[in-house]
Amino acid sequence: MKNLSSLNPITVSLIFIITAFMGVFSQNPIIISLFFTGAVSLCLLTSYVKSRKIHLYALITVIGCALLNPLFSHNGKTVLLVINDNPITAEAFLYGLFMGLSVAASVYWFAVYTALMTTDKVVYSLGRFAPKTALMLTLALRFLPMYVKQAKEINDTQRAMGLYKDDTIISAVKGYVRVLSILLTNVIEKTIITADSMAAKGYKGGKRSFYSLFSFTSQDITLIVISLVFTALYGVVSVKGNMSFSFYPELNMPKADIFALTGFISYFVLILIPLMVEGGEKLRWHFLKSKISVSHIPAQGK
Amino acid sequence: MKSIKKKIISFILITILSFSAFVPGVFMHPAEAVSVSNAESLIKEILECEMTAAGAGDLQKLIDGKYSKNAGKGSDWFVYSLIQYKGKGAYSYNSYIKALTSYAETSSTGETATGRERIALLFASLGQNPDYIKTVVNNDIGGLGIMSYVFGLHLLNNGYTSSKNSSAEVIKTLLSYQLDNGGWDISNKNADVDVTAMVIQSLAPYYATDSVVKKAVDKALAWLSSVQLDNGGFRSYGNENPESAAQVIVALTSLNRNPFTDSAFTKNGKNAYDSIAQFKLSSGGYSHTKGGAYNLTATSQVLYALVSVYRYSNGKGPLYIFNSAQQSQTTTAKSTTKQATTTTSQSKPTTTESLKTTRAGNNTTQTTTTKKSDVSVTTVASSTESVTEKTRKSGSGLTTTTRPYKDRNTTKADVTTTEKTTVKDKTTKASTTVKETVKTTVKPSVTVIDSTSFYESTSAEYTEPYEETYTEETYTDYETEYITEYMPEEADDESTHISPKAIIVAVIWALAVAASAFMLFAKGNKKPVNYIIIAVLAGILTGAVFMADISTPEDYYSVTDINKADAVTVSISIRCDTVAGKGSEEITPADGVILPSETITLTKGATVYDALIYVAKQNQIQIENKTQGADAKDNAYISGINYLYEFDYGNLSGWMYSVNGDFANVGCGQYTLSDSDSIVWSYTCDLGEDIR
Repeated sequence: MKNLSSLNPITVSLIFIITAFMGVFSQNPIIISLFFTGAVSLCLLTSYVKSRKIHLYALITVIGCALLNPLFSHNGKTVLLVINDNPITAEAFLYGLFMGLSVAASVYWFAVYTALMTTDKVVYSLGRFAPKTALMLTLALRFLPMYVKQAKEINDTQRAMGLYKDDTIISAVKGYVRVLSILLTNVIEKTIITADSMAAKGYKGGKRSFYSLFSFTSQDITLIVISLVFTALYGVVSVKGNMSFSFYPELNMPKADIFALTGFISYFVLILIPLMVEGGEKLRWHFLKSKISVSHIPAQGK
Repeated sequence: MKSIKKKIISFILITILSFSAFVPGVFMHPAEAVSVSNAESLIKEILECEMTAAGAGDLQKLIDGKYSKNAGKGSDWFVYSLIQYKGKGAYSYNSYIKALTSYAETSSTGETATGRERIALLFASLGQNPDYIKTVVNNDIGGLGIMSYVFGLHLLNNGYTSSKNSSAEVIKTLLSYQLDNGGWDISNKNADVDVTAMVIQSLAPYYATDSVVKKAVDKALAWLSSVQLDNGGFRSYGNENPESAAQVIVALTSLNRNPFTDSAFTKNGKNAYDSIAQFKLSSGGYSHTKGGAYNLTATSQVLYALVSVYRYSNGKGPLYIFNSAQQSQTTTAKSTTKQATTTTSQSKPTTTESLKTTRAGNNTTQTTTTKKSDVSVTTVASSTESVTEKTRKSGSGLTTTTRPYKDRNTTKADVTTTEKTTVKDKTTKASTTVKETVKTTVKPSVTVIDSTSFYESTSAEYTEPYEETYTEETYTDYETEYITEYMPEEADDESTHISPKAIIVAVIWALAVAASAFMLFAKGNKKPVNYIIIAVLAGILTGAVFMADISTPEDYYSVTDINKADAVTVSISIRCDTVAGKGSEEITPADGVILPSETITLTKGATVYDALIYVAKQNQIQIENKTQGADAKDNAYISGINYLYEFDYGNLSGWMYSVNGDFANVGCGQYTLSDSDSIVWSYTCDLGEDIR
């Protein structure tokens, strides 16, 4: 039994991308809610994502979508207000809310995914058939955290030098602009240096080979088979239209039947796979530890 | 260990939280549960059943045939339900009136006092036979025990006056009959559900204003709630029956309470209608006993209970208040503080002095009405419309699937006739200037009703209405108060009349204050610049809110009348022939007609956009204009009408308009209309090629 980070990257990518794809392209509130629940619990139950700010951003996304959508979409039967001859409707609000939830869920989901997919894993899973894409992806993925760190450093330096204070809103905004302009110059310089150094190291030259230690275990194969089976089930049900849901002009869902239920359960299982892998490992360790303590052998590590 | 536990707990919490977030969303789709909004479909089922039973093709035939034949002998409550459901103008009741009149003449000795009151109530609802009503009101109140007081009080509530009993005396009598447990009964022994509910119905108009009545009614309601069965039903003389439940529903709706959600009247999640549903037959009618055959009384009482629910959900007032009578009362009511007038349903033309007083008192109200109409279609809220529209309850404006414009037109017709008589009488005496202002002054004068200051001034004067001696004048004053204070729509208005702008602005400033507080207490920031910036931002947002034209759906969809002084008359229709019947019947009707050609009058200079917005308001059709902001009207781009949107049927689909058959090359906000233009909005699937 392995946890997510020690599974084969292809297995992890398959599971994460399939579920995210379904969650983002579904309009069904049940699917979106399952996606959101799954993503948030995975993020909280595992320690891959350490930043706490992600919750704030997710909250802002959800509230923002819910409040802004009614201002731009006026479809829907339940009119709450009329602004400049355009109705503000409850349906548009709900639509915005669930789209916000779906965006927030994919943010959580991919936050975990990017934490899992280290550079060597990306190169392993893409390197064979798209080496250039793999290289670009790893570079691009590295840039973001790098620049966040860089911006913090510039900010600290500027403040330490006494160049700006952020005690009023105006000076804070001025400071951010200053940091941003420095950062941009820095970025441009850094990209050129990176390109030059990579060329110097021979990245331009002929065919490259990769070495990686990842292998397919029986657990990988089991997980892939399970997820493909449930994906197929989900696909059939969604093509049949039993899970279709429309927000406009009024909330409308076909009566829940056995097919729709199958679809929901398939998605639930798919969402549950990463949680089970992680949780199963933790539970196993938990019970092993208790066994050890029962037999009066000192427990090791945590 | 600890962290795993914590995480599992948090997982469970998150699951519960996020599931609870979507649960209401999923169940918003109403299944079979009864709600105020589907009362109408149940009403239709009963009417269908009636029509098939009588072999009548439509309701008019049913009224002219079976109902007229049985006038006074069992069809009265069906007719009454129809009048209160559709308005008296929806169908012709001439043959029924004739039959009822002859029945009243021939059987006046055979009928009981309550029977005569029932007939009087029907005449009153149709605005017929005032002499008969007068006789009944003068002679029959109290003529046959408690029920004759109840029905008499219904007549008095509609503005009829009795030489023998004032409404205050009737109320006193009724209250004196109340039993110790709170109920009422015909024999004054064991409280009965039906009688109690019916007494509540008649006392309902005084519930809001009279503390004594309120106390009595509350006690009665508590008793009713205590005897409600576990399945939501009620027993009368030992047996569960639909009639008792129906009466309770009428009583609750008369008090402006939702009989299906009121916590006191739902037992184990079952409400009164759930009990009635057990007696429903497959034909749509109702039986008196479980599994029994069709029963006339049961069906008629369930019908009017449902009509009462319908009236409640559409804010049309209680079952026993007639809209026409209401209006004639309000017309007179507004000038009562200055003069004594007789309030009857036949509104007598007021004198020139009264006209002047109303005119003087109107300067303020006129400004409030014109404020509403800052849409480029200059509109003066018509008095009656605003009164009837006020009755529309919040939220129900658009949720009901039927478009209530038919009903509106009929009430409009009623009042314009009374207006015309006023104008005629006036012209001889009044100068030409007065003559011109008659129309405009008479109209907004009724909108005094929604000015809050008016409530306060009137309610302050009548704190103890029963203490006064009931002269004609105080009676009308009392009526004024009753109209303004009691009518549920007005009571609602009091609470929802705070304009949505005020609420939004309040929210903005509350957020600003919260942000400031956060900055001050959590961050300890004391620089004044920050607070000034927050205040300026909030100010800008406030300005934006005030610049925007924000209104509640009730207000928005109620503006109808127009200044006819300088006007163009055009016809407009909305069609979707190219996609007729392709989608749902509601969005793409099979005949392709979303709005049949309608002739409207607009202020000169109105554009095609104004015309569209005007009919959309009148008929509650949804419109989406893609252009936002200040030039939304000039550069209007209509992307959707009646939930049918551009690109719904291919990349080349969308809405186009033609004027007199020509497709103009300017936007609809730019095309100025001239007299007798004919506008057609049509949906194209091929950039206009398929509709030319």
